[in-house]
Amino acid sequence: MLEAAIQAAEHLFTLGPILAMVLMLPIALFSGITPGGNLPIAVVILGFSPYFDPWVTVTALVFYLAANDITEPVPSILLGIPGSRSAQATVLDGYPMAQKGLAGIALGASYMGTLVGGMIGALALLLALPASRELLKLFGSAEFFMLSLLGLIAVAVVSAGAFAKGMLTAAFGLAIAMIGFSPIDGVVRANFGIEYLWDGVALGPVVAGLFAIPEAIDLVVGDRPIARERLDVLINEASRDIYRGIREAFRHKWLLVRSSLIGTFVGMMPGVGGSTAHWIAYVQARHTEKGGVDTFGKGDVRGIISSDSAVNAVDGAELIPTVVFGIPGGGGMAILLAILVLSGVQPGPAMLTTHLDLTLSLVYTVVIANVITIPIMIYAGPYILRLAVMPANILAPIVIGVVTLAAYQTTYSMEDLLLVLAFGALGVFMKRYGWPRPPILIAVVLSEIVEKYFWISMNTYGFEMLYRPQLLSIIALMIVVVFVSMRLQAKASEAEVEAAETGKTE
Amino acid sequence: MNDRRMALEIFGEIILVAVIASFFVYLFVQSLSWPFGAALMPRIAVVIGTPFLIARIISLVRRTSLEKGSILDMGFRLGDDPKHEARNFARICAFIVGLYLAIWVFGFHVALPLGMFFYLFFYGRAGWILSTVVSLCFLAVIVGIYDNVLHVSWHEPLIFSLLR
Repeated sequence: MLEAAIQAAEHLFTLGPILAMVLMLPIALFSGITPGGNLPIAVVILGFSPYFDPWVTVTALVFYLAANDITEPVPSILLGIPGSRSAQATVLDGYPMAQKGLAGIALGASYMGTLVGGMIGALALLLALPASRELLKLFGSAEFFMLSLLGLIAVAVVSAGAFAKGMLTAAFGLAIAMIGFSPIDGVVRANFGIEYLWDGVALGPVVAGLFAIPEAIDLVVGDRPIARERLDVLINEASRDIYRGIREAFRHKWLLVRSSLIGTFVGMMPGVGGSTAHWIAYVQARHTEKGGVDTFGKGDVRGIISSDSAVNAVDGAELIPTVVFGIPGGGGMAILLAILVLSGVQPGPAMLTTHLDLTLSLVYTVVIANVITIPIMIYAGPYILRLAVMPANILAPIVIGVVTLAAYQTTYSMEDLLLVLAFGALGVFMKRYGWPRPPILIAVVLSEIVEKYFWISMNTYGFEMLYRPQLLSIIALMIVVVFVSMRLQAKASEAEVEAAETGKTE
Repeated sequence: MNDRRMALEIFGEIILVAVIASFFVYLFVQSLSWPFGAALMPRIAVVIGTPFLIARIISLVRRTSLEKGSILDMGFRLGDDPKHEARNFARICAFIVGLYLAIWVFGFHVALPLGMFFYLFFYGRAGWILSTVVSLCFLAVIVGIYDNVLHVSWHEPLIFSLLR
């Protein structure tokens, strides 16, 4: 492990990965503050992954995702507009604080919360690796098949918040992923007679269509102009008292640690992620902190500390199921998996043996992202917001142009764009009617692995594989994970409804 | 929510469910002509999905389930002016389709920068300078990175074959 740790550092601190981090930093700072999510940029990184070493592209993606999360609370606090689903709870207390002229304290507390949360999440990833190595020695093809399949189902059910809808989406995703050559016997399946689909649906156009296009449309549809004069006042106020905010975070150090641990635990569960973690941490803080029930939602700095530390702890923790078991917890992790697969790095046991150095580099990258981004945000965060707050009718076409170029890199043919349009239409419908989109993305990434392991297992064990104790343990664990995740989600939904009823959310 | 709006809501989701059902049927029928190895997983996907598809159709028909979305999906942010939002929606969708059509006809080098300029100037009200800068940035990326560094082979724009 020590040797791998040294090798990881040797690989990471070379020109390629360093340039990748330098390039991703301003992009993450800008995109975290603007609405639209992080997947458009992730698609661009995916598009460039065949041209670069995996050390470069994996570092770029993980750094970008980690740094992006740090900047998301800024519009929540200063403008009352959550940049993503993971920043909604921050609005409840951050925005009232900004309205009282305490924006700097709110931002300082947020930055320190995200820093500590990020470090704890990275530490969790580091500590999980040796235990995971021993666990993986017990697994065979049957277990990997079941892990992948149940991981897909868990993501689908948890992200849908409803069992039937989630299962249907998982099955639909798996069905879509069957298009193209069969990995079993090379037969071309369900390609509608279209030669372009012989290789199946490519990930770049799928992500661009399912996620980027609907989000760009949402930017335009839900556009609300922001008064620039008010913004100037907020930026001036935000530059003051940041260090007071940092001291406030340390004054509530046990809340900080507790919320980070909640984020870590939630992050390890596939499909749940930051959007639930921050609500759970917020709710637990509200009910356990002294006077929390009366003061949370009215400008209590503890609300910011609890939610933001939990969200950032997810970054490191969600790498555990992704890298070790090949079960991505969301869109960003699915793209990470895709980059690894495209680069010839198989997620799973190899990530803890042959590629342990690459896995450890992910830990370093998360830490570096936090350590570099926080000081920049402390000094320059509000000024970055001035650049980033641009009208949706300017931002949206730029996003569309960028992802169009990225999607075209798949096969450099117009069919890539047709696929973007097709999945874009599907993504719009799914977003409009509340159907989860991540399961389709994850199914496209995992389908080949699922099918191959299933075939190997059937030929090796037959139906007796269902009696293997390891397999039964995985099934039982997944049932528990899905049950706990849905309970957590229900609690988070109650918190969201309660907040909306008290009129604190926008 | 009044009856007309609810009917529209359900109709939209019925389209989505119909697409899924059609694809399931297509996949299953196609799988009948494949060898067992290739057919197994698609059939499993369809068999797992079909009961839930039927359950979803029944709930839509009975109008018993119209949840807007779950915690992990924000849904579209809708405000107080549905007509304005519908106009915005139509405009951005028309832009996307028009852009892709223009790329097919004229190629990336012409369509993408001009498309950006057009939208930013007329709808984004970005002014001459910003619209031109953004367009030139896209052109610079296309020429500088895609042409000179990655040596991308672009598709032949339709206009070239029409002019020949």
